[in-house]
Amino acid sequence: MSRTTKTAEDGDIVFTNVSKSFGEVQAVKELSLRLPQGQIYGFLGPNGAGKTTCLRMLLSIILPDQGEIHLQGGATAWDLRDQIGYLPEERGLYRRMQVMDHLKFLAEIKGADVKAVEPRILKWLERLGLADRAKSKVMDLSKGNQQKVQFIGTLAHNPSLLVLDEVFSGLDPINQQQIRDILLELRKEGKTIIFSTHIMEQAEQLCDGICLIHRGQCIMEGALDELKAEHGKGKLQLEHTGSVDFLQAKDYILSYRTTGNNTELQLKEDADPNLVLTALLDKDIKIQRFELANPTLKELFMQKVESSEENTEGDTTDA
Amino acid sequence: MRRIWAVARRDFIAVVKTKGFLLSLFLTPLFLGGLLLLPLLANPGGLSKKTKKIEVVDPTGQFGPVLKKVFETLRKKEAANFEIVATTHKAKDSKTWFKKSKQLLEKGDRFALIWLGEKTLQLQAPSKVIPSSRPAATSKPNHASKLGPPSKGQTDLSRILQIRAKNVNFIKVAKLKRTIEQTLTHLRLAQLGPVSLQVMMIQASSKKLVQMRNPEGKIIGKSQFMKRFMTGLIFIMLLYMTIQIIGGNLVNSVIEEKSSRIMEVLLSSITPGQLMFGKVLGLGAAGLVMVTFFASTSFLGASVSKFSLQVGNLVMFVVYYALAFFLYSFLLAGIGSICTTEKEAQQMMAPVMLLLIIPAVMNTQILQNPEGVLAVTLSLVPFTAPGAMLSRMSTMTVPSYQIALSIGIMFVSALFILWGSIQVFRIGVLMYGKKPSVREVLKWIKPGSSSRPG
Repeated sequence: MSRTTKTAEDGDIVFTNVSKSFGEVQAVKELSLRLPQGQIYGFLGPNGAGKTTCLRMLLSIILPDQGEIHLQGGATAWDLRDQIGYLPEERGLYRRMQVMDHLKFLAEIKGADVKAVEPRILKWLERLGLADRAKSKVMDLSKGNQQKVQFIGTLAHNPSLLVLDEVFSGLDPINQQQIRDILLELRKEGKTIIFSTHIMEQAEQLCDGICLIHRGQCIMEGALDELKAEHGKGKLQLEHTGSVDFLQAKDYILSYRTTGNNTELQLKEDADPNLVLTALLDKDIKIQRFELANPTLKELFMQKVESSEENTEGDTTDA
Repeated sequence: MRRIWAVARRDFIAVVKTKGFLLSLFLTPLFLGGLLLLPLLANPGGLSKKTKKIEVVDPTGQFGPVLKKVFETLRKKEAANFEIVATTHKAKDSKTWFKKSKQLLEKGDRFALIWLGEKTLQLQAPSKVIPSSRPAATSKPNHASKLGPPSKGQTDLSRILQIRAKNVNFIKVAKLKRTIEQTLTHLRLAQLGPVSLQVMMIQASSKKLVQMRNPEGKIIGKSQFMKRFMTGLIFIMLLYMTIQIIGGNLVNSVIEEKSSRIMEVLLSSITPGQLMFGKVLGLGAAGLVMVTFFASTSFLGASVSKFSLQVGNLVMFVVYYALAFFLYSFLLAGIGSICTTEKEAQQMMAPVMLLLIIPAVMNTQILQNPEGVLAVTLSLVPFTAPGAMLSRMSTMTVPSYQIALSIGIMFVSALFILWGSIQVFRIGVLMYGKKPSVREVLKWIKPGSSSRPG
């Protein structure tokens, strides 16, 4: 691929109009993204949304049918392969190999010097509580421990870019927290971390930027706090005494959901929340709570998927 | 290169450490040895040095002692383990004696019964049809003009020498029959007087006047054919065993890598070509260990059993072996990459392995007509060339242009298969679930369908 297209700023990763289909199934549709260097970026979406396909294309394991992906200064992942650590979805380990041998092998095919990586591997094994399992066969480890070995495998050659596909799967909450801490530390060291997940809470705790994918299409993308601020507008939560059903008829209300004394409203764009307050006061409704809510990522996602006018059932193919 | 080396080393260790590899290392020579010994073991008589007793019922009293002497000489010369218990009886008693002896035969105390008719030794043509088997009281020796085989119809048993044996060990019985025929001939000829001695001498010397030689003039011994047959066969067996085991491992490890998704990690670090080459190299090394082990054990075995193999074409052996190994390994790696389960892979491997044994099945035809269309074709088709060519080489001097052509074809095919397999490999290894159709696979092989640089 040409290095001449200088669309990327220094270390940013840039997707330009990327599409990929497998036979009839369009896994990714015209995706354009910018993944900033030194940040944690999440590909989010339900199963089969196209997250893994995005990561595989990012890594040049498969090539897009259309569009281009550039890493640092226009290079492809293949050019930078030794500086990338990749953790595939599901376990990607030789079951019959010893943990230490395996980790050394993974570093070696990344061109690392085996002698140099050994202390680093030991350090990580210790950190993740696997120091005494270095000589164990992979197949003798629990699922969670295998996942940790796999995780160390992506770090053994000290890459500057980490690509992690569902890194938390199979881990208990304590280990999840441990991995989260490590990822945050790695970001501090200036590493870029890209990961995919279908669990929004995880992304919320970690990500600087996100891309919400649904049916191969990006439905929301950008810095997480900005997205929340932007898309959180117009969501009102009320706690009150007396019926507020009359609000449904107001032309500034987009959606209305009530459980009697608790009501959630979505205002139309640019509508002033004060209109609601005035209307409630006019009707002498007693208000216990009036809150402009900051939505969770999950809510944002649900809202976006619903409004994309497609039904929310994901494809069955896990592309 | 270091990465190829890393892959090769990993795969080598992965295979060599498996129990299957170690087992096959030790069991295969045992199995092959067993295969050679099985016929002997199944028929213990053929192996035991115990002498077999043969009862001779001889009304003439002339035949038994002579036969005994013949077998004694044979026993000293080539360890034929027959012992003659000759009994001479009057013609009228022979039936009773025969009945007695028959019991011995049935009990297994005797290997065979020889019942000489009282007129067997006479140089007389039989009278046309004799209604009863009971011999006529007297008969005079007749003229040479009447010599001839007994007429058809009912056989005159008084003229027949019967060998009755329970054990149908064809080789032994045939040997016995031949010896007895010769003895009978001598005894009958002797009746003609001094002439017979000359006849016998001519017969003996004539045998020595005929010699089988190869085109270079080297004398071909009796056992040569067997050696040749075995040389070709052992080569194919060796190739088959190693490709079956090593190729099976190759396919399985590709499938393991695919299903465990480590393939993605590998392919984000090295090219499919590097990966494939590393695997074939590592497994090839494992194969080398295996072949060296097999070869040394069979050499040992051969020197112990005095069954010498032809190793004159050792260089050719190595060249063809290496070419065949790479050819088949590359092909199997391609196959492994489009399969999802080991079972599926085994089904796809079966026809490939069949190609490998075609020369073994055709070995006899190849040896009988090493310059025939079949033999030449088989020795030029890359998949059958190794076995067929080695077989031909053991029988004849194959024209060097044919050898060069066959090696060239194999080399080019191996490269082509390597290239094609890499094309299939780099797409196939990332396909999960659905098995691609033949048309799809062919599409992958076409240039320009690359999924990645490198």
